[in-house]
This record gives sequence, structure tokens and C-alpha cells, in this order.
Amino acid sequence: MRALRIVRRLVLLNVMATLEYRGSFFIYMLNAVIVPLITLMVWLAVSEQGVRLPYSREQLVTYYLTLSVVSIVCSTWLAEYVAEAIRLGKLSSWLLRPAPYILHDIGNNIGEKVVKLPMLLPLVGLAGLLFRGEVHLPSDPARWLLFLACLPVTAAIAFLLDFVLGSLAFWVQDVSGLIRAKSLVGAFLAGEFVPLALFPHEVSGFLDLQPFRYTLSFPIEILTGQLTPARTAQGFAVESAYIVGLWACYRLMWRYGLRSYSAVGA
Amino acid sequence: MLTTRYEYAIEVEGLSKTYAYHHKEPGLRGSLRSLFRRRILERRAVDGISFRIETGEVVGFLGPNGAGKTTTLKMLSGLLYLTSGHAEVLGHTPSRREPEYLRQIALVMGQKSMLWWDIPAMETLLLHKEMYDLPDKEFRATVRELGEMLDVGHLLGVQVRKLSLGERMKMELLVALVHRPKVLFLDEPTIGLDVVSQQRVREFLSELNRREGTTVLLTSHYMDDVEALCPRVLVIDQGRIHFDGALTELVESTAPEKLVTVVFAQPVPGDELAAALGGVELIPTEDPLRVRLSVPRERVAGVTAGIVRLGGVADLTIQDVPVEEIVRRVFTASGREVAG
Amino acid sequence: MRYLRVWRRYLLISLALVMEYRVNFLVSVLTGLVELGLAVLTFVLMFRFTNDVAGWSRAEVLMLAGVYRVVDALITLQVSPNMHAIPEYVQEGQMDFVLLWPVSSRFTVSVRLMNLPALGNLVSAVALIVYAGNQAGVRWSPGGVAEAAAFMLCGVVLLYCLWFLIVTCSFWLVTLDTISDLFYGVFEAARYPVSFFRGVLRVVLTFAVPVAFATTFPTQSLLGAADTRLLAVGVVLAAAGLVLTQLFWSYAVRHYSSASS
Repeated sequence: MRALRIVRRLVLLNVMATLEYRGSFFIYMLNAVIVPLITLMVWLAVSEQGVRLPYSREQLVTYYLTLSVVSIVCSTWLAEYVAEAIRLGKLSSWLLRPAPYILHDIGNNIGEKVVKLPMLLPLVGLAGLLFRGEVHLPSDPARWLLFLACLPVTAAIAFLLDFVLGSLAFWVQDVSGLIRAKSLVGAFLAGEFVPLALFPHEVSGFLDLQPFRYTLSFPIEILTGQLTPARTAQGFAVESAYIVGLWACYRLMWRYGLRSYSAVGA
Repeated sequence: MLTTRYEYAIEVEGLSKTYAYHHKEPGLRGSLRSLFRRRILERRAVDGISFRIETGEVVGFLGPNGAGKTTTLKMLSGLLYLTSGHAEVLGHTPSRREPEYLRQIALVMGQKSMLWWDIPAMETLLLHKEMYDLPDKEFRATVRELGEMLDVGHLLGVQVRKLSLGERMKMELLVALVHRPKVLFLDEPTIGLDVVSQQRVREFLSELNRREGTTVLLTSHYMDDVEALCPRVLVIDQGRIHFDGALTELVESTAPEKLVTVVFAQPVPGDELAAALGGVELIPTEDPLRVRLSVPRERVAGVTAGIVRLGGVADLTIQDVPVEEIVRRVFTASGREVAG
Repeated sequence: MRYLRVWRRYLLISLALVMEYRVNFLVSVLTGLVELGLAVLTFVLMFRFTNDVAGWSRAEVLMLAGVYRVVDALITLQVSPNMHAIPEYVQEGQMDFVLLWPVSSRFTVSVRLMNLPALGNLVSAVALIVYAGNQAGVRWSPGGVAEAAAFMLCGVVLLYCLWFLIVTCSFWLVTLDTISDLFYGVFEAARYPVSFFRGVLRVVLTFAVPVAFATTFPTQSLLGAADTRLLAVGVVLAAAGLVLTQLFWSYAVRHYSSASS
């Protein structure tokens, strides 16, 4: 398929460009480990008060170590760039090419991650050494399969959500505030600081349906063994609905957005 | 404070600058390889140059890209340390960057801006007023005077981003000169400007030099800048000075011929013309009535007289070889191609 | 004093820029409120399971959240815009102008930019401190507030020094444009009292990367539970930090002058 070949080429280009900035990305990876570790320490301090948390000490350790990997696999950073490309008219050079603009960002997203992950994994391994004996990864291959199947879909949802948000720039002058607010609220509702299982029961119905769970938390929940088969299945159903919905959103927004973009001649 | 006495505004002796840089092979494999092993190479950007510039001189620095012009300017303004040699400007060692030294110089780079993009230039001027500790009255007088000379006085309250390229460059000059520096370094001050703006900037610089006696050292790609402003030029290539002297002298020594163009009212028979020329080479043109000749200086008088005697001459001009061509010759002689 | 007048000019320029982009102010205040709300929510969720974490009650931790927001506002106001810009100056050559001005280059790069909209976040932060402080039964006294402010000042200076130290490395690591992220990773720890952390990490966060001076100690001052001897330590550390960063900066500028092109 042509689109795939284009993406492959773009990924290679991005890998090369990313390697040029490997130092920057290494620091970024350090942070991807440090911040979850800090949050983990805080929760361990809470658990040491002798209270019964819904999560055991081992599960907390496993949760936050997994989180640092999943958060990189499912990370996005493009909303701002999409908005800028639209606002400053940088799209025009892409519109001349017989390939949709989104491929450019997909290539960038995957390309950077190809470089980031080999840097991140040893760091997470080191952090794992700090908590020797407290990391409990499942031995059940089915759970790993589910996790691995869920991961790309989750990454795609995070990507599309960001892309759609940035695409609002077709109609809204300044989306930077919106992007910032989304990243704050999104991180919180994705379980970056407080695992979703530690929220009150009354809101669990809402938590299961809101999109941010499917940008980070859901695969971790699968791996740490928090979910019953029924809730896993339900989660996959919601996840599929989001991917379809967001894709449709993207197509619609770009069809109408490009029309107004070309009309203005930006 | 001790006032330093100096004979020359700028004195440079055996100035050299060497850079170390990494070598990277192209492509993904190259990127990967350079992750682990980097080849470090050395490059001599400036290679033992010497010159002296007197107070009030305007000197042009000519040379292709990467010849060492900008590196030299940066060493003289104290931004770069020299690898070896000696440089003194206004009796100061530039690299010490003493505040008293910095107050007496200015560097304007055509490619970089000191101005705040989103606010009027006046704000940047006021900032410089505080930085250089300029008295209120003096500051206002200078801004008014320079604003008039540059014809941008009415634009001081306009956001910089709304100014044209030429206006912005003039503002850049105003800001750089508001502390009345004694030495002005200019790196490509007219780059990217339209012809009219280039002309204005040149006029301003020569007026500044006349009025204030400011010593100016400028680099430029545009020969017009150099021709209009600099009685003296330094030609530099591959870090070495190839010529130091008057522009006229450069022309005479490198181009011992003049270009003569003759336009005849009616065709002239070839043999008659050849006899009149006496062996001088003809440069072919597309117009049969137009004849171009490259004539050695000492024969110009004789050859033109011979042509006029043929009769039917509608127009006759005698020109020097253009400076571009001359500089190209200097560099071809040193085995280099010239940019610009 | 000349430096004060130069700073005032930068302030006026920043003010002109705020006027230019008024929407930013609103956006900054609103996202600041969101951040504050989420911090409060995190602690509320945490204290559903217990009334006390490492000796801190919910009200006390919420006070600390308010103090963190004040520190964050100060850092965003004067420190972070400049720290982000320094690698750019080096990359894009604006550093040349900085070095040409007859003003300390360290001063120029440290104060040149101000993010005035951050001031808007001080209001909500102080409101949270007062509200949570009343819940925690704080007896407000000018002495306590002054002590807290002094700790906080030391803390902000130390955080600035730390960040400045990190960013100064960009003279060598020119392609490292995310170098500031290292600082954010550390600053993240300031959201919590240092006593939440165990062993070596607590000592590190108190003295080596001293986030404790920015948030934990000021909160304890307000609660009347701070060790005042630590204030002297803070002043000494801050002074040492300023000297150390100055030395490193001069060294970096020397490197720039011998290696850049």
C-alpha cells in the first residue's frame, strides 16, 4: 500500500533526524522515568501509613514502572505543531503533494518513538532494580497478548485526539490554551498521578467511559491484572468506539477545514 | 581611570583562529556510526593576518563565504578568542570585553536582529539608554539626529514587525549607534535589502563617517557597498589577506586593461576596423553595430583615436573592469571560486 | 543603580508584550486554576485513605500545594522564560549581542524575559494557602509569614541556580534543546513535603537539589513548625549557588568565545 510505504520512508527520515538530537531525547526519557518514580514514592508513603489501599505495594511499583513505558509508547506532542502548520499556512507545501498531511505526523510520531524506546527501556530496567522483588509482571501469556494488542490502539487514540484538537485551529484563532488544559486534565484522568482504581467508586462509571483512560491507563490496567474479563471486554469495546469516532472526526474536520483554508488562501 | 593612547584604531598582527569540528557521514548509517565514534577535524578560519586601520578610516573586507571575514570581525569585537597573534582596538584587547571597550564599539549583523519583534524600536532604544548609561538630553539628541539621517524618526513608535526590511535594517543601525561608538563593525549590512534601501544605508554610513569620524570596518557581498564606501579594501581568502590597499590600486594591479565600447551609426568594414585596432582583441557582441574591446591601459588613447578616425561613431565609452570581475580574478589566482 | 534601571526597562518591555497579547493573560490564569484544582484533587483523593501521611494532615498538604503554586508562579514569572531562551541564544547566535552589551552577560540572560501573566496565578495560590491554613488552625503572624517568605526566596534562588547550572551546559550540548526538562523532573518533587520521601532521597531533596527550601520549609514556617536554623543554611546555600553558577557561566562563555563560529 502506498500510504504505508510513505509512512515507512517518513519514519526512517524521522529516525535520522531524531538521532541528531539524541541527547535531548535522552533527557526527555530520564524525565519519563523520574516523574512516575516521584509519584510512586508518594503513594508508597501513603501505603506505609498502614492503611488498606485498593492497590498493594507491589501493584503500585508495577503500575508506575509500566506507566513510564506506556506513557512514551502512547505519547503525542503534535497538537501544537498541527495548529501552527494550519495557522501559519505551512500546510500549503504539503497540500501540493499527493499524500494526506496526517502521514507526516504519523511518521514523526513513530520515528521518534523508535529512537526513544531503546533509550527508555534500560532506564526503566535500572528503576526496576531499585525495587527488586517488588515488580510483578504477569506470567500469563494471554494477558501479555491483550496488553500488546491494546498498546497500538491506545497510542492511536492518543495520537488522533491530539491531532483533532490541533485541527481546531482551522476555526479557532488560538488553541494553545485548550491544548495546555487538555494535557493537564488528560494526564490526570489518564491515571498519571492517581491510578484510576484509587478514585472513588461513584465515579468509576464516568472514568471507564471518558477518553483519557484509553490514552494511557487501560493497557496498564490490563497488565497489572486489575480488570475482570468482563471489564476488559467492555474496555476494548469503548476503545474501538473511540478509534472509529476520532477517525471520523478527523476526516470530517479536514474535509471542511481544508475547504476554508484554501478559501482564505493562507 | 587611565586613558589608553593608541596610534591606530585597529591594529592586528599575525591573527589566527582555528576551530575543531566533528565529521559526520551522511545517512542513517553515518548517524549511527557517529553515535559511537566521532572524527574531530581542525579548520583554520583565519590564518595569520596583519593589518592596521587608522582612526576615521572606512575599510571594506572582501572575500568569498567562509573566507574568514566574519570570524575576524567577531575577534575584533571581542566575541571570539584568537588562537594566536595579537589584536588591539582603540588600545583595548577585545577579548577582555571590558565595559569601557564595549561602550566604544558596535557590531551590526545583517542576518541577526537586536530588536524586539513585537514592540516599537523605541523600547529597545530606551533599554540601550540604560545599558550604556546615556544622559537623557544626549540620548534624545542622538536619537533625533540619527532618526533624521536614516529617515526613520517617524517610525520609532511602530512595532518592528510592521516595518519593511529596509526600515528594520535602518532601525538596527540606529539602535547600534545610539551610544555613539568610535568603531563600527558591519557584517553584511545590506544583505537582502532592495537597491534603494542599500543605497540609503550606504549614504548614511558615509555621512556618519564624515560627521563623527567613526572608524568603520565592513564586510559585504555587494561590490557596490565597497565601491561606494571604502577607499581601502582588504581581500581575504582561505584565512589569508591577498590584498591590502586602495580600491583603485587593486583595480590597476589586477586589471591592466580598460573596457571600451563603441556603437557605430552604420556598419564598418571588418578590415578597416582591424587596421584601426592594431591587434587589440574584439569581444563579440550580438549587435553588429556594437563593438566591445579590452584594451591595455597604455594603448587606450591610441586605439580610441584610431576608431574615431574611422568615422560614424555614435557612442564611445571607456570603463574600468567591474570590481566583481577583479575580485573574481584575485580569487581565481588563489585557486578559489568566488561567491557573490 | 544601573542594573535596576535595566531590569525596569525589561519589565516595561514585558508589559508592552502583555498588552500585545492580552488573551495570553486569560489563558494563563485559567490553566493556572486548572492546575491548582488538579493538585487539590490529587491530595483529596490521597487523603481518602488516611488522615495523615508522614506527619502531614490534609489541610497542611493543601497549604503546601498553595505554596508550590506561589513558587511556580515566581519561577514562571522570571526564571523559566529566560532559562528556556538561553539554549536558543547559543544556537541562533543572539548570544553575540548579549556579550556585546556593557552589562554582565549572566544578568542579561537571567532577567531579560518576564512572563507577567504568571502573576495572575498568585491570587488563587494565596487564596488556597489562607483557606487551607485556616483549616489547619494556623495562627497567622507577621513573623511566620516573613520567615516563610525568606525560606521561599532562598528556595527560588536555589531552584534558579540549579536550572541555570543545567542550562549553562547547553554551551557544549548545543543540540540539547530539552535540557530544561531535567529541571522539571526535579521540580516535580517540590509538589510534596520532603518527609514523603525516604532515606537518601530526602537528604538529596533537602540539600543537593534543594526543593525543600522552596515548599516544605515555608509551609512549616507558616505552621510554626520550622527549624529556623535551616534559614541560615538556606542563605548560605543560596549564596554559594549564586557564586558557583557565576563561575560556571564565565567558564562557559570563555568556551563559547573560543569554540563558536
